[in-house]
Amino acid sequence: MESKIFNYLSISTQPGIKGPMTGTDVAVESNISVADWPTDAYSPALENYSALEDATLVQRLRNAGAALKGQTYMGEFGLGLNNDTCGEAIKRGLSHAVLKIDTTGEARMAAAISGCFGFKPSYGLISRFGLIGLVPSMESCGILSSSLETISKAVFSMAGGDDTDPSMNQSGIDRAVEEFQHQDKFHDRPLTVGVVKDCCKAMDLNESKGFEQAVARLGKAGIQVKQIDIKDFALARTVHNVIGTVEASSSAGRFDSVRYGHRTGASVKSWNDMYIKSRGESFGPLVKAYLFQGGYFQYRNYNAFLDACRVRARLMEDMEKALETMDMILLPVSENSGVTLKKPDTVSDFYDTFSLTLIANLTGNPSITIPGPVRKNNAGPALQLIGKRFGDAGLLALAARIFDIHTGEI
Amino acid sequence: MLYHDRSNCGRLGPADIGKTVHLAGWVDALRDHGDILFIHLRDRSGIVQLVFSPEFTPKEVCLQSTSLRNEYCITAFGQIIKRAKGTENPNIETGDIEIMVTKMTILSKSNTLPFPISEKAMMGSGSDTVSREPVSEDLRLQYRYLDLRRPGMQQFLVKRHKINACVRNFLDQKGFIEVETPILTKSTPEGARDYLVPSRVSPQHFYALPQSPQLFKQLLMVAGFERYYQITRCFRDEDLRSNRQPEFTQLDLEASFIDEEFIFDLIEDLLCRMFEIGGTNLPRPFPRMTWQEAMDKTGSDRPDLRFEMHFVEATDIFTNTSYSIFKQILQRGGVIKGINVKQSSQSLSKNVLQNEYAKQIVPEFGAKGMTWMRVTGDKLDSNIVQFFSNEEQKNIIRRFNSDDGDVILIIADPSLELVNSALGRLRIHVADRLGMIPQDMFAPVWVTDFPLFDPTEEGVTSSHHPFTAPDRIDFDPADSEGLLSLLSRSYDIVVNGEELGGGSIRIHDQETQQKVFTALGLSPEEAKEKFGFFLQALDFGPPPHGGLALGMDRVVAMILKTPSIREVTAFPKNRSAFCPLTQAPSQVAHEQLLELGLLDLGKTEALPGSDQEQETIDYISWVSRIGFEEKERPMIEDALQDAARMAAVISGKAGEFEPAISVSQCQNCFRKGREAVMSSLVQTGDLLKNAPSVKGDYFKVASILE
Repeated sequence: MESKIFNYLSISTQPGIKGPMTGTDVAVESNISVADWPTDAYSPALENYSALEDATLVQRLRNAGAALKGQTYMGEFGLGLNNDTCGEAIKRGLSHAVLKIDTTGEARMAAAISGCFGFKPSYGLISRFGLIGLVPSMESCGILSSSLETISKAVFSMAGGDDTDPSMNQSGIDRAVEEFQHQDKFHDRPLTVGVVKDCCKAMDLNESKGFEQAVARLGKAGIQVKQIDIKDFALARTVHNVIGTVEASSSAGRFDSVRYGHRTGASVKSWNDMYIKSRGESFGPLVKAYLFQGGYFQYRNYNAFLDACRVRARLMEDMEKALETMDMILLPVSENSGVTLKKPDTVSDFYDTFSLTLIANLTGNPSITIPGPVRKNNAGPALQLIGKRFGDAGLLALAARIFDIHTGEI
Repeated sequence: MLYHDRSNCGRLGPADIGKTVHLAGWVDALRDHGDILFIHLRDRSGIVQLVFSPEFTPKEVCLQSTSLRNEYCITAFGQIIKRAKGTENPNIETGDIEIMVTKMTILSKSNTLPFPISEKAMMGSGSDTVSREPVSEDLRLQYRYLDLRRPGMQQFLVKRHKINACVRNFLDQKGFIEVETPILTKSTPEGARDYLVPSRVSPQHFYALPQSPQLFKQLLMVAGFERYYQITRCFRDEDLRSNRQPEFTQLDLEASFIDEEFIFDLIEDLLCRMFEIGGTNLPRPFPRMTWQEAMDKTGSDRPDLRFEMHFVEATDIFTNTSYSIFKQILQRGGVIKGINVKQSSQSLSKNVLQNEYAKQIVPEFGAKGMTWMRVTGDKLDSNIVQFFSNEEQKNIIRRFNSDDGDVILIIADPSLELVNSALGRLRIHVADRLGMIPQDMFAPVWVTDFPLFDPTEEGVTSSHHPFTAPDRIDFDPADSEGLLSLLSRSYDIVVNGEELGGGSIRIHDQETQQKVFTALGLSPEEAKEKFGFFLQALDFGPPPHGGLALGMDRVVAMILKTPSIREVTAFPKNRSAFCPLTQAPSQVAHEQLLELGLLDLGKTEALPGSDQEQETIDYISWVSRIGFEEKERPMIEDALQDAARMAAVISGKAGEFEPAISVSQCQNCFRKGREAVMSSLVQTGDLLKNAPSVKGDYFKVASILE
């Protein structure tokens, strides 16, 4: 039964070290390096690849006493959720936490679907060394768990500078680590949350009734709700698509069939021929379409990439300004209470799923999804919270309060 | 200053003694005797000695003369006197006299010379010329104007001028008209590589420089000039050999209503006159040889007839031989031929024959081996003679007409061509080594009756050019066997083994011309595309005609006995087709290329990755090195359309912002303060563990070059 959930199970789950995470099982996906585990990111581009060493964050989890359970299933390079079993692993209690790279909202969305918490930490807080992603400027190691405490412990254990990751932010890390030691202070102070005006309309989605009700409940519970206007919100999806594909096209260059991965069996007459055939056979249709879009922006329309980066700069600025006057931003996860998932056929299908979650990846803010209240006949909508950069500890503490209100505990 | 009264240095002589003359020229050499200064003054006509002495030269002129150096350009006045007895200089023609200088002006000064120019010694004793270090040819070519000041070099060009004048004079007498034909012309697909000249008016279109005025001269015959000639420059972009220039001068001539005999008579008469300028009398009539005879006797279509040593056919002698090497060759339909090197057994020792010729030299000529036999008395002496029967040995001696002291060299091979070419080179090599080639002799010969076609893998090709008349016109253009038996009405003039020129009687009717094109595999459409303008002319009553072209550089070099055609060319290129004087060829300005439309040449070529006209999807597939299957094409094309739509949506949306590449400043954590160390993964070899293909300590990949 576990084999339907796990792609790979560790032979020994015995933790060697006593620490804050002793007794906590953590599963990963096959794009997070654990030494000697098969690590193919579910792509022929890494056929038969086994990790040579632990990702930095895996090493830190081991040092904190966590037990590495195994790998849950995933889609090729984590693009789309149709093959995922990370949420199921939590739902069925097979692991206390699952790590999943969150580039567009994947970890949070998977959690929302399966009814657990999904957290994406601030960009630059946890080392990405050993993560095999396609979009380096957007991706963070997401954590799924039904326990906010487990998530907090895991983030606290994994956070910290790393010489092998050039995108770390040491002053942000210091601030975040400090805050984790004072999570109590968020327990009963007054709260202000912002709601992005017309956020669903901006993404061509129907207004979510469930979300409006949830906002109303928060207001009733004494939380101040402010409407905010983020003018590029409607462009976020396009910006992510343009930048994401360019970075993917660039970083997929390493899959050359020389050092690792699939080498074509066809006879080739030159080294270029070897690349073209091997890589042509290595990427599935969705990944290939994604890479071709990136190639288009790189080689035919680089100005579009620069334009996208400009809008991203303005989004980052607007987001930072908005969060100066409030504790967090509240967003729906999707237009419906639940998310129906089908296998994405096109890049556009894929982005449809994540149009409301990807903004946090663009701006690097921490973000968490909290599951909706479980009622008799239908589950309430999951909520998405976005916190201040490196305010991860605060966001996790406040998420507990919002969760209590949302699920009717208070 | 006026020069109308100037005298020529080299023309003065004892008859002029007592005259006061005005001279101008260059200081060829100086000899300073303290008070007295002697100089050799050189102009085009020769050298005369000037003397500066306080006895007759004004003080200020004496003073000025001390500043003279080699190659200063001066003018001087003075009186001619007879030299004192014992001081005559037989090295120069004016050696009996000298000039007492009374006036002198330095017209211009010269820098220190890159190499000495003076050729004539100032003293009567010893060698008649100045001994000099050899000067590198590139240095001579770089300062060609100084190199050409040397009287020897000047004489070459003067003689060349006289030869040209002789040609013009003679042909004029014979009723030939000199007509110039275009230098900017059309590239034709035949022959050697063309030099191309881009057209500005028609961008990306090119003229070609002529390889010969062949079609124009035939058109001049159609035009009714009857006799035409031209001394013209031709161009071939070929790899240079020692005696070739990318541009060369050709005496091109053509006449109507003539036959081969007219050409032979005309050219023999002309060549005799030309060689006379070099002091050589050529005996007439020139002998003639068919191509077949030349090949049979010398293995070359350029036979050197200064010595005999003709090939001897010996195949039949060995019909029943027991010598296994010959036997095997004959079983494969091969031939056995040899030469008799008369009276050479003294010079060609067993060691030289076996270890040099049989083992080294002949294999370099392409043959597998060589058999040698020395004739001692009436016997043969060789390392293999014991394999030949007595009768075979007798037959060899008789067939090769051999006497005591001769050496017989034999080459056997299944291929007649190979035997001919190897034995031909051996013939020249041995004759040269043994000094059997008379150096002052000129042996002209007409080679005639060449095959009209040469065989190729696909069929036949013209041995000369497709306008050459065949010896008969009743051939079937589809019968390639029959085509190869056709002879052409062409002729080459060969002197001392060097081809000086050649020509042919041309086809003058459309029907035969079309048959030849058909034989060459050219359809009427293809022929029309390549030579349309010329074929059309054949429809308007062309006269029977023929002609010849002489390589003037080679002829002049041979007449003047210079080692290279560069010696008889004023401004030649070196062996890399480079001109050290002008530094041509050189790069040109960007603007020039732009104006000529050459910058984006090749744009329409389907070069992978460089073709802007390529479909976006194929272009991205190439630059990203990601292949795709046809069934994936629609899906990828949709994605690309989507990408273009997104680009339009995002365009100019936040122009005032700097593009944000990431949310956090990238840290250079890899370099700063960190020493480069070898990864432990390399040391353990783990880095290779995931590679799909490994060889030793390396990743194995497909070859980088196709």
